[in-house]
Amino acid sequence: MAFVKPTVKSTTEMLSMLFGDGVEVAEHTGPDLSEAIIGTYLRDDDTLTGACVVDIYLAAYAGCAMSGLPAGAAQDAVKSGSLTDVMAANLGEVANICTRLLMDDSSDHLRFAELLKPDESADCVAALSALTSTGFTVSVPRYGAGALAFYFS
Amino acid sequence: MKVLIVDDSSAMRMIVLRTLRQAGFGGHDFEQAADGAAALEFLDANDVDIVLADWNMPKMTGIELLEALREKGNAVKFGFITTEATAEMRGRAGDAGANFLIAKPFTVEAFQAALTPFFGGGS
Repeated sequence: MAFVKPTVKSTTEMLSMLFGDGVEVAEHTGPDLSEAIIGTYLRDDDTLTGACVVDIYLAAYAGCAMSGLPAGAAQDAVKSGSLTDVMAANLGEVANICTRLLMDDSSDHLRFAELLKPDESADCVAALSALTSTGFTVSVPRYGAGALAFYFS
Repeated sequence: MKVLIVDDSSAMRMIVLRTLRQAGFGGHDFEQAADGAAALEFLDANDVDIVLADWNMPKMTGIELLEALREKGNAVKFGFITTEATAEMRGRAGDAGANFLIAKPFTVEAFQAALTPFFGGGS
C-alpha cells in the first residue's frame, strides 16, 4: 500500500491534539463527495493521490475550534452552507496536519494542496471515487459532530 | 531572546505561541511571518535568535528559507514545526542546517524537549 490507512485510534489522537480532550471518533460512512468540502492531497509530482473530506458540519466545527471561535459562528456557517475565510484557512491547516495520518517512514509522500467547495470539485470527485476510503464521525468538544473521510491510493 | 514564528496559518502561529508559553518559554520577544519570503526579508533587517518555521508555505517554503539563510552565512538557530516528520524529511532538515524538528500536531512536552537546549529552563 502506498499510504497508511487512518484508524479510529490514530485519528482520535491527532484531532485531540488539535481540538483538546473530549474528541470522539467512530467508524462511519464518510460524507457524500458531491456535497463535501475536499482537501486535496498531491504526490511530489503534483498528481492527485488522496484527500481529506468533510461535511459542512465538521468543516465549520474544525474551522472554529482551531481559533476558539464561538460555537454560534460555527452554527451560522452550517446554516449558510459556507465558511468564513478564517474558518477555511483553519480547515486547510487541519487537512494539512492530517496528512500525517496517511504517511510513515515507509510510505510514499504526499502534501496538502487546497480546499475545494462542492461547486468546484467535480473533476476531483471523479478521481477520488476510484481510490480507497475510510470514514468516521467526529465529535468536536463544545461544537458538535460531523463526518470525515480520507481517500488514498 | 527574539523569536520569529513562520507559518502561513495564522491559527497555527497562535497555537505555537500559546504552546511556547505553556512550555514556560513565554518571556521572550516574539515576531511572526506568514511565509518564507516575508521571514527572509525580516531576517535580513533584524537580529533574531531563533526561527520556528513550517515547511510547506507559499512564496518560499521553510526548507528554501533555511537554505537561503545558510547561503547568506546566517547561522541563526532554526527549527521546523511541521507535518513533514518522516525520517527522510528529518534528514533533509538536518542536512540543510536545521537544529531540530518538531512534528505537528505537537504537545507542550515536545516543545520542552526540543527547545530547552535553546531557551534554557524556561521563564
